[in-house]
Amino acid sequence: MSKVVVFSPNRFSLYTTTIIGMLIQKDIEVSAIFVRKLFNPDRAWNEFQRDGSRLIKKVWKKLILRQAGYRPENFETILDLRKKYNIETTRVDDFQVFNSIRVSYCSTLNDPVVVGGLMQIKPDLVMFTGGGLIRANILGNSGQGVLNCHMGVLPAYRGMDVVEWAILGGHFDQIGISVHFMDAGVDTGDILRVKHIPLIQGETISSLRNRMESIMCETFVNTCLDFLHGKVERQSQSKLDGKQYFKMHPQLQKVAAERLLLYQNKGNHS
Amino acid sequence: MPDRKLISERNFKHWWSIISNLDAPTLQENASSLSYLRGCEEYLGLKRLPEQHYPDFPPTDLLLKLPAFTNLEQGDLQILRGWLLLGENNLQTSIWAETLLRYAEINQSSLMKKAFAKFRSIKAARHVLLEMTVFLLDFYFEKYDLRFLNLVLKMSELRGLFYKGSLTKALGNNILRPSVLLQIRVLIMGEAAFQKLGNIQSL
Repeated sequence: MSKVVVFSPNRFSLYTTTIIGMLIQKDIEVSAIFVRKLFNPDRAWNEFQRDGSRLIKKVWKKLILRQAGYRPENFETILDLRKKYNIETTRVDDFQVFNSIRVSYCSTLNDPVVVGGLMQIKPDLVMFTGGGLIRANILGNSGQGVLNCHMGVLPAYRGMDVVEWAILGGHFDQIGISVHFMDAGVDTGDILRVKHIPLIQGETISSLRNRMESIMCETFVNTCLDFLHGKVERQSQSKLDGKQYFKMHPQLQKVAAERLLLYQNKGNHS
Repeated sequence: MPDRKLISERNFKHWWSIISNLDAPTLQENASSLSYLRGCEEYLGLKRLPEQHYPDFPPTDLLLKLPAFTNLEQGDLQILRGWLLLGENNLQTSIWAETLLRYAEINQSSLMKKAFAKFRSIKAARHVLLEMTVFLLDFYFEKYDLRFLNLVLKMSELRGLFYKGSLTKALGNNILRPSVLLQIRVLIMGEAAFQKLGNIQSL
C-alpha cells in the first residue's frame, strides 16, 4: 500500500481537511501530516509585507469565518463536497485522534523535524496543500516528489493570482487547475494533469475561485490516486513555456473583474 | 463607468502646462525623462512635446554582465532603455527586464533598503529605482506584457520613491531635477497605459 504524507498550511485549513478526508475514503494511507504552526511572527510579517490588507481578508475568511464564509451557490462548493464525502473534521489534528494519523507541527515546512519525519516514514508521495516554499532537502526526501494542485493552467500561468491574470489577458480558455510536482522553481515541475474550467453564467472572480476550490480537491485526490496506480505520467515543462506572475495590483484586479463581466455579457459562458 | 484614474486629471494637466512651456534646450537637456513618451501625452489630451534626440550612451560592458540587480550600475538602465528604443540586443534586454521584474516583485517592501545598501546614497538609490521604473514601463509599452505595468503601479506607490504631492510644488518652483521629471514620466505614461487598458470594450 502506498504511503502519502500531507503538508498543511495551518491546522484549520478546510482545503487540507477535505483532501485528507477524501484520501482516507479512497483508501490511501496517510502516514503523517506536517502542519505549520499558526503563529509565526516572521512569517506573519513577511506575508503582511507581501499581501498587505489582503492578508487581513485572508485571515478573516480562512481562519475566522471558515465554513461560515461560504454561502449556498448554484455550483458545488467545498462545503458541498465535504457533505458528499461525509467529512466533518474541521481541524487537522482531529485526524490524529480519530484516524491515528501522526500529526507534527513545525515553524516552516523546511524544518529539520519535517526532514527527519520524512526520512523515517519514507513516503511514496507528499501532497502539498499550502504552506510556503519547499526547499531541496524536503523535495529530496519525498519519495516520488511533492505534489501540488495549482489554481492555474500550467505551463502558461505560473505564480500568483493567475485566475485574474488569465482574465485580464483575455485568455478565458486558460482558466483552470494543474496538478504538478514541485521543484526548485515556481510551478515549473513535471505536470500530471491540467483541467480547464469553463466559465458559468453570472460568475464573478470570487465565485469562480470558490468553484475551483472544490474542483481542485477532487482533481488533486484523483490525480494522486491515478499516479500511485500508474495511470498518469509526468510531463516535463520547459521554463520558457510560461511566465511567472505576481500579486496583481488592486486597480488591475478591478479591470479584470470588469473584463469578466463584459465577456459574460456578450454571452460567453458554458 | 468606473473611475479609471490613478492620478487626478487636474494634476497631470497642471504639470504638463509647465513642462510644455519649457524651451527647446531645457527639453533636450532632459530628453532622457521627456522623450519618446509613446503617444501617452496625446492619449491624455496633452500637448505633444517637440521631438527630442535620445541621449547618446557611452560604450558599455552591459552585454558582458550577468543580468542581476546586484550587478546593476548607474547608467545601465539608460542603456537598456536605449537598446529597447533602437531594437538592439533584444534578448539581453528582455532577460534584464525579466530579472529586474522578479527581483523587484520579490523584494518590493525592501527595495529602497536594498538599493541604498548597494548605491550607498539615498539620492543615488532613488534615482536608480526611478530609472528602473521608467525602463520597466518602456518595456511594457514595447511588449504589452501586463506584468510590467502591474509592477510599475506598485512601484509608483512605494514609500520614499514617489512623492506625488510635492511634484506640483517642485515644478512650480522651476525645480527640474531628474527625479521630478522621471516621476512625472512614469505617472503620465502609467496613467495612459492604465486608461487604455480599462477602456478596451472588445476582447
